[in-house]
Amino acid sequence: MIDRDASTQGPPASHAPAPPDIPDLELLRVIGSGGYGQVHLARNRVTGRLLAVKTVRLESFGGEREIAALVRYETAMRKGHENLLAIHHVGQAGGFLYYTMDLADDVSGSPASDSPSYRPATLAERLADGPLPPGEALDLSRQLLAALRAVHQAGLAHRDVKPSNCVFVGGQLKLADFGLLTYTQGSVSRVGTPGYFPPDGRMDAGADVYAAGLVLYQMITGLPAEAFPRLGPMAQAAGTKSAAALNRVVLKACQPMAADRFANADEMLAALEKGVPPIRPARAKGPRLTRRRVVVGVIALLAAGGALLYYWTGAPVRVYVNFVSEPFEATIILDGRPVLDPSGKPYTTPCTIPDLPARATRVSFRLKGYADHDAGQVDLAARQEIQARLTPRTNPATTRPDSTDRPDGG
Amino acid sequence: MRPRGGICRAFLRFFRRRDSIPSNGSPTVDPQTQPGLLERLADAGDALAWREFFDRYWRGMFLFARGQGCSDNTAEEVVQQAVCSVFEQRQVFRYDPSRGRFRNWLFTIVRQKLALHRRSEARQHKDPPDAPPGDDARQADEDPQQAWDRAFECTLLQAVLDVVRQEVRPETYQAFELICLHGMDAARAAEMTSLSRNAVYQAHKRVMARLRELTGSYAADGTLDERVRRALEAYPPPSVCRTMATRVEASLSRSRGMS
Repeated sequence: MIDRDASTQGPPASHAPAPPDIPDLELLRVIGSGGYGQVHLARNRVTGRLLAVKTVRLESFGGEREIAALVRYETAMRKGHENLLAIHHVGQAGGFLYYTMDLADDVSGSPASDSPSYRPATLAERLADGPLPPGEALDLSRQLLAALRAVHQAGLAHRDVKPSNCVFVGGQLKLADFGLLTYTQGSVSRVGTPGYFPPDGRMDAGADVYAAGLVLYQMITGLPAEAFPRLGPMAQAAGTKSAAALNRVVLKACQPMAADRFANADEMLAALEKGVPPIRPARAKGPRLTRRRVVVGVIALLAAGGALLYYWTGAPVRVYVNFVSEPFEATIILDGRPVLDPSGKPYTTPCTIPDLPARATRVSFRLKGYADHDAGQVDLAARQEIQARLTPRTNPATTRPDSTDRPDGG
Repeated sequence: MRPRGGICRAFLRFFRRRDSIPSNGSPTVDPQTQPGLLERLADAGDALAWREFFDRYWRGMFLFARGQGCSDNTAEEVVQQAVCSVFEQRQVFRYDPSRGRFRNWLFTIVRQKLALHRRSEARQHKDPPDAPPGDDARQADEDPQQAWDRAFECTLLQAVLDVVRQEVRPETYQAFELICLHGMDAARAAEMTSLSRNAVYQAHKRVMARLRELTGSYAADGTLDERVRRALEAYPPPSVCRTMATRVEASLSRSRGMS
């Protein structure tokens, strides 16, 4: 039953050691706490300016290396960066290390004040109301990555990137809490906030980019970091191209294997601007066997096979044949059945019958008052015209078929 | 990448086991069995045991209360009161497997708290006779026992889904969720995840196969898809997850201070 986002938080104020007496600063009250110290609302006794002061017990603040990293950060950022919370002063007092910073806006949106209701505006507070519109999430991600790029260019790693460490000053997102700041080189210790660790556990500059991916995930889904990669209700609204594009950036930034993620904050920024490159590069050798190619290939094979089958089975060629008889008006019988024209009437000589199968067919002629004339088995493909002379029935003894139309008779 | 099935199986065993029992309104503990967690709950100071108890049961209780028509806030209150009630009765735990399941005893407690809440709401806000019933007054049509079982089945499947979520690549899980829960077509799911359409289908298939493997008998009746979809829908809202633990922890701290 621990609020995971606050798992680096220390003991409550009532159990914390008394804050040190810092020259020229009046500590008004605790406004936040982290794993290694507390953040106080403070007033400069001379100028009256309100500031945030982080106090850390020296024995709990890592070692010389971490202090040196903090000093390096303070030195590198003296020119200022619009997305990094400026450190104005670093000092030691009463066994504490302390540093002063700008005060975040009030959560209500009004400027910082010493009123009892003051609560620093953080990204975590904003996300408590649900996911952000894609445009706002994109803008805030750009700001966060710009901050990380500056930190990494100084040779440092933040190691505690999360929404509660992104504060708003004058409406601008600024990365805060430098308690875990360290050198990029040779630092892989597993410190930070659970839920924001990359799976390989290396807490270096790459881990900052991984955590920035999770922060973007929280912005577009409204879900906690531990829920990654669930999409939840956000997916309903994910029809927009911008939401889909942001999700692809998240997926690339939060890959389980370090080699598949963005190499640095610059790459992630570029992906936000131009779109995401493939998570895994395409295979170099040969064309990929995609579903579409398989389907097209199968259709082509089927078509070729069908054509071959059609050819081999000898689909009949159709021919036109002329039929002539003497006398005319004889009905043409092919394979024992009269041939009918399109109107359903039998063809009678003389005529041309279209669309006949070019194969051997038994042909005969029939006319009332005449004996049926059998022309025999005729190869229609080899004949353009078939003629017949019909014999009257009156003298059946003398009737004989004319032999001129026999196939062998030409 | 499938190292965590053991956790899930332990989770499934936990819910299948008849690990504790109420007797005439008070739970019992039988030393012959291994009551494990329930025995440890007798110690008010065992914060880990109480956290484990909370983690295992709060979602089920919350889902049940929501299913009975409660708002998120009311459901949170019901869970909070039920956990406190278990805390108050921790000394009289006696485990007896022959008398039923701990979960069913918890069911009676949650129903009592729900009824009490409704009564007090009715007393405080006397609605005019023609006023439409509020959310909290709406009664669910489903049999409460069935609703209770279904709520716990959802939590069980959510636990399994959480295991699978850790095993597969993020885009694979998202493709599965987009198709299974949101009914998104493969082309849009592919656009969301940078996968090809074919990979989206494969992802859905692979995750479902793994779920079948982990849930065993649940897949036997062929309704796993529908049950998984229901479980995906039933994840509590993030705001509830954020406040619930703090709220119950505060109540338990107060109860510890008084006892």
